[in-house]
Amino acid sequence: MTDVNFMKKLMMFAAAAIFLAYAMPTHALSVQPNTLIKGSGAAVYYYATNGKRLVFPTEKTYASWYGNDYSKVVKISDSDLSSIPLGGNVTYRPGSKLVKITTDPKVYAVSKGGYLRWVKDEAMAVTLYGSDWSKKVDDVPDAFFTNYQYGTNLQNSIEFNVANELASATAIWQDKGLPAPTN
Amino acid sequence: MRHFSLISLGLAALFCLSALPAKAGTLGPGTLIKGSGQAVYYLSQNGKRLVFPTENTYKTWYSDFSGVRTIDDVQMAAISLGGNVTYRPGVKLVKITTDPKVYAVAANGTLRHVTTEALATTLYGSDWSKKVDDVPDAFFTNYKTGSPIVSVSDYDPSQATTQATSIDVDKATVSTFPSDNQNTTSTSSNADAIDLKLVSDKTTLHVNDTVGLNATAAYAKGMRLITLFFDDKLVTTCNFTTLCSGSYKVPGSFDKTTYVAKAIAQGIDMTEVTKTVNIPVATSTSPDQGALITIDQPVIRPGQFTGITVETDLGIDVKNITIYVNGNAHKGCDYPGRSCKWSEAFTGTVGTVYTAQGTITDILGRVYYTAIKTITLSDNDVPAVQVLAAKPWIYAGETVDITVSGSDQDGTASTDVYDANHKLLKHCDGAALCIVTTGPWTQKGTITFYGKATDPLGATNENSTTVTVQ
Repeated sequence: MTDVNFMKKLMMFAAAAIFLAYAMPTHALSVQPNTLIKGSGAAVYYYATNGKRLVFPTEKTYASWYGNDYSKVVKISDSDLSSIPLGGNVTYRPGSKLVKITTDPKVYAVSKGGYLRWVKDEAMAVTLYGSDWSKKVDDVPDAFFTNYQYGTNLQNSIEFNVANELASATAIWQDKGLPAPTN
Repeated sequence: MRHFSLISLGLAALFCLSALPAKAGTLGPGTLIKGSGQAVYYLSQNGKRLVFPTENTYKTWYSDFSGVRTIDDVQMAAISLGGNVTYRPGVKLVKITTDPKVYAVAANGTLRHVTTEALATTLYGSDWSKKVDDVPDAFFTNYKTGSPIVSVSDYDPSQATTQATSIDVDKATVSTFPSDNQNTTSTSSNADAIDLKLVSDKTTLHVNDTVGLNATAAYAKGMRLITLFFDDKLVTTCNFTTLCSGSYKVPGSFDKTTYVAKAIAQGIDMTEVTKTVNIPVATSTSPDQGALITIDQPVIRPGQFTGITVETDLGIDVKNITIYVNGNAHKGCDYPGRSCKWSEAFTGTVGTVYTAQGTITDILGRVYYTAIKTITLSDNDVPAVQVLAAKPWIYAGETVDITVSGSDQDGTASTDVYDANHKLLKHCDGAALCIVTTGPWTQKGTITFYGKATDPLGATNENSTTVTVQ
């Protein structure tokens, strides 16, 4: 067998395997929705109550919800992982951080539902997050800006309450407006 | 990382940068631009810059970087971000990292699952597997899922590529097949608007009043914020709740005749609804509910005496009460008490009408107005009627005696006692007191009784009293 023929056969086998993987019979998943899951790869996902898995586009997005705690992540098989369809990206937990899109100078507060609220001046930033507000600003890569929506501009700092925003979504399903978990 | 160069410009500058205008006229839609960093953007016809999330995405649209123009970072920052570019249709097959399916790319970022290997070969050639790009999970959200490709006639890669002449054209394309958008946002009808109600506990304003405002909002998508204002001044804000209450102390002097209370309700989806309530300042022409005026005989003969009583049933700390006739103060009662009475003879010709009104001033200086009542001079006077209850309040199950008496210049011909519905309880001829035992009353609440007196010439007058059942 020549190398080329072998490579061809290998690729055809791999290609066939891709289609076969899809055709394999499914079994009941061992995880419940509202759980953090991973496969053999490094990426962690949120298994949502609408049956989809949500992506954390950056590690800091994960940290805004769970900090450094990865203890609750459940490892499942790769075939189980791929059987849960992707359902969008997670956005920063509301109230957790100020965010700045990489090539946009504006600083935004994150409000429930993935809404960005422009913080119009330094005085407002100080009122909302304290004199060390600049240390609470995370950079969000341009390519994930599209995961957020614009909320109405904050005319007055009383329109945004950090404690209330944090309390409005203690779990990702709340932020996304998904059904509550049944367990 | 490239963004640190922007942060080093100084955090204070962050807010200033947004104010600088873009240099108009030098960049047209469809231009590829970059700043000092490596990232390349597509300048869209809507004036925003679109991001290429991966270099492979860029390569499906452009063969090289020769068309890219460099602009300065300040100019770049002034152009808002407008979303991500998706693969040019028909050029590549894509596979999302943790999803085994192979997809063809149709217009405007629509992914269509290629269901069999045979189809992949027919559409893309025997080396189709070399044309599969991996797209990171985090960019899957940029795409929509369209209907799967089950036969060759379902999809034509080269036609898909030809139709996508530019990124703007591709983004403007509306999918013609049903799509299953994983970022489902429910498209609800406008019947689902925020239902906002605002109530004030004051219908008229007096100086130093404290106005209580109460707003309630109902919205299927949930409430984000309710803000209450009085005279455009902030009263309070309420987050993530459907109820909001607040109070506002009205100043010691007014600069308007009507004040406006306002509630703004914002839903989770940022939709807003506003409701306002107008509250006029209490004046002599808008009487207060709790300030009462009664005239003993509203119709009298010229020169006859009659009495005017002003009293309040509000729990207010009365400082003084003033009785006005034809707008002039005729009597002031300056003692703590709830009632003030004044009698005088009203002179003039038949047909003359006098007006009577009372004001009650409380210890905070708030002024309450009674309605305006009239005293008319006529050929005959109407009787004065008094309706008295033996007890102003009784226990449930008790009876109560009601007495009606009349007095008139011509004498009283008869008196009648009525119940709350004006049903006759007793008729008495002559000038004697008319007494009737009513009840027993079992239901708690307030009962009203009416009395009527008639003089020999047929003139009548009515009055009433209330009894509380406890």
